[in-house]
Amino acid sequence: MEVLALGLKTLCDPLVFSMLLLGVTAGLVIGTIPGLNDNIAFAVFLPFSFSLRADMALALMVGVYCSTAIGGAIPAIMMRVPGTASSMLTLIDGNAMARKGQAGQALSIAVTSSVVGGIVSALVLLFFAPLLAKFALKFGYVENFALGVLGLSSVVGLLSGNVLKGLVSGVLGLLVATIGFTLKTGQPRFVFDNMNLIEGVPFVALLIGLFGVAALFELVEEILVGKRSEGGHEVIPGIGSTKLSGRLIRRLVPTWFRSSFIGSAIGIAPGAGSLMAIYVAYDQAARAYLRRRHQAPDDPRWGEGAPEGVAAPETANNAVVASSMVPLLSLGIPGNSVSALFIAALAIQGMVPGPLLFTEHLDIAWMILTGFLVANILMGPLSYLMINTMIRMVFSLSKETMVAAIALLCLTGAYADGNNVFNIWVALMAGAVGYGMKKFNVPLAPAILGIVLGRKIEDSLMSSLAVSDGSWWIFLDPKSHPISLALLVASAAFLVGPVLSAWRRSITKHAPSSAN
Amino acid sequence: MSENSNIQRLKPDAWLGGFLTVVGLWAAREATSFDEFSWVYPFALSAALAVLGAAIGLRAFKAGRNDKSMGDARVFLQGAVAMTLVLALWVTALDQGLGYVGPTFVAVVALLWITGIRDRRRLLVNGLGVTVGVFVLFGIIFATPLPVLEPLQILIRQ
Repeated sequence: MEVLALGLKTLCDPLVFSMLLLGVTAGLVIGTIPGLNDNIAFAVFLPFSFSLRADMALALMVGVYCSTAIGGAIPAIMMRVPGTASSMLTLIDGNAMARKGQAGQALSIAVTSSVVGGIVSALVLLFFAPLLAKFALKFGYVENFALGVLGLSSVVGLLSGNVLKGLVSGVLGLLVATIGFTLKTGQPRFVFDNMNLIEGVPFVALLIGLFGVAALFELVEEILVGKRSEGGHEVIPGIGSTKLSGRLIRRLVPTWFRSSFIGSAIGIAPGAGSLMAIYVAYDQAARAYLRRRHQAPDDPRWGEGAPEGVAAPETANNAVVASSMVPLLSLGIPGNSVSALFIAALAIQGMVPGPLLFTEHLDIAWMILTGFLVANILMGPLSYLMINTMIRMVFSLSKETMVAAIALLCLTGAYADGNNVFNIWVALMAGAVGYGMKKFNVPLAPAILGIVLGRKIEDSLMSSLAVSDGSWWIFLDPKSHPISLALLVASAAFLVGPVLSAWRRSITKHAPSSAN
Repeated sequence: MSENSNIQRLKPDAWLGGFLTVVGLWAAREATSFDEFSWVYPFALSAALAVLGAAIGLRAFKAGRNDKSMGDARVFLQGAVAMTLVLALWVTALDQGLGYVGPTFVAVVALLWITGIRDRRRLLVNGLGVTVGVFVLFGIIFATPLPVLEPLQILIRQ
């Protein structure tokens, strides 16, 4: 309880609280604009951290991270254009409700569901992160290596049907992390006689490029293809009443409960992300709805304005947010790509995520934990206050000007990290590579994790092998390192699982034809 | 079958696989020049990259279908390539001592043009607005020492 009070006390500093409020507002606005997502929001705001105090900077990031998903639901419901990828299922029933004159109801369900999902997820974070961090303090080199391998393999394994490209992405990330001097001998590796690369590739610029600049390239492509202008020509339905009846709230409680659980559980698994959460939650809600509709045949069909079709994805996508910080804050393994950007935000302040954060920066660690809870609580009333403004804004903003402004903010932000023009080159190149990876269907998440964990994995591997005189059995020794053994078995399961299921699918597919 | 159609039949994954294999082999060769404590780890990763690249390439050839996932090449050239070119020229200008404001204004106007704005007044007003906005934010509010025009820098030093 003392640490919780410490976190709240840090958060209640007027400047820190203002930053949290600013972050929530900015996240809501950015999320509302189709094409802009949490990656861009984070990449744009990251450079602001340089000139802010640690608590203020991190409160800003918490606010931005929490509220971008909720903003995405607004254009999804009003225009049938998802503001962020995580609201792509909200548009089905949400827009159908809006066309029936129930836009206000749909928006209210989206906001309430997001707040419920966010609060549950923040409670999960508050409970599990300190517990896991305490446990992780016992980890040595051997366990740290196994943990790194588990983080990477879980991300790769969750990319069902794309394991090969997931592995390529992970290996690429690990290779990028080898650039620079080695800690042991000072050997420069892959530096091409460039002094700027001696300490490795500039981390902040690299992430700004991979997230912000790459997303901008996609946005430009979207503008040129003209997808977005199609949505803009549609007639916007009127909002109508936003009041939810007690009966509807009672009806949605099971969906909120189920989707919060799904989102929080998926958020904790590294690499799973919000898309998986919304699909699973939507699927589960659909099954429950179809069972229920037998008793209430007057209700709209699934996909044609069912309130549960809005509540399930919106609860799940916000439930992923705070819970994805559990592995990051406790173990140093990012739960998804945006939480990887949080590492950069911490690095700018000279902090490293993981168990040591809870011992060396107790106030900041607990400020982040409580910040997620408070940001989710603030998000509800702020969203109601801003709905009308945000809808008007989406239609008045020039997307073309936005591209130019965001490009400049990202690249000048990369420069601001050390005032070095080389950083802009890094961000630009990383953006091109990130966009290329997207075009070739190579997932980005394993590469990010590889970059983040690369040094840790190599150092712990080399140190472990030095202790064991080069014997690899040290990682599998059940007596001296049972945690490492368990983690590596779990890693193997993550990697082998998708291969086995693909093999089983191919057997099932070929079975009828061979029988014929 | 003409040579052109043969090239068109090559799938993006075949190119990707080939590229990754070459990069992997090059990195593995580089890694062998590192000292005895530093070469094994990057060498193993590079070799893995080459093998995985070859596997992706082979899989693409075996699939025997033309993958259209890359989308419209013209949009790609007009969008990502043109934008990269403009931004690369902008960074070069910053590096060559041309200052921040001038090159940034030109780059913003070029980016607006790429995304489809043709009205001169709009180009000018939006270009100026974005340039001044970002300059004020970073240069004045955050006090970031942005690149200064070379002659101006000499004057400031004097």
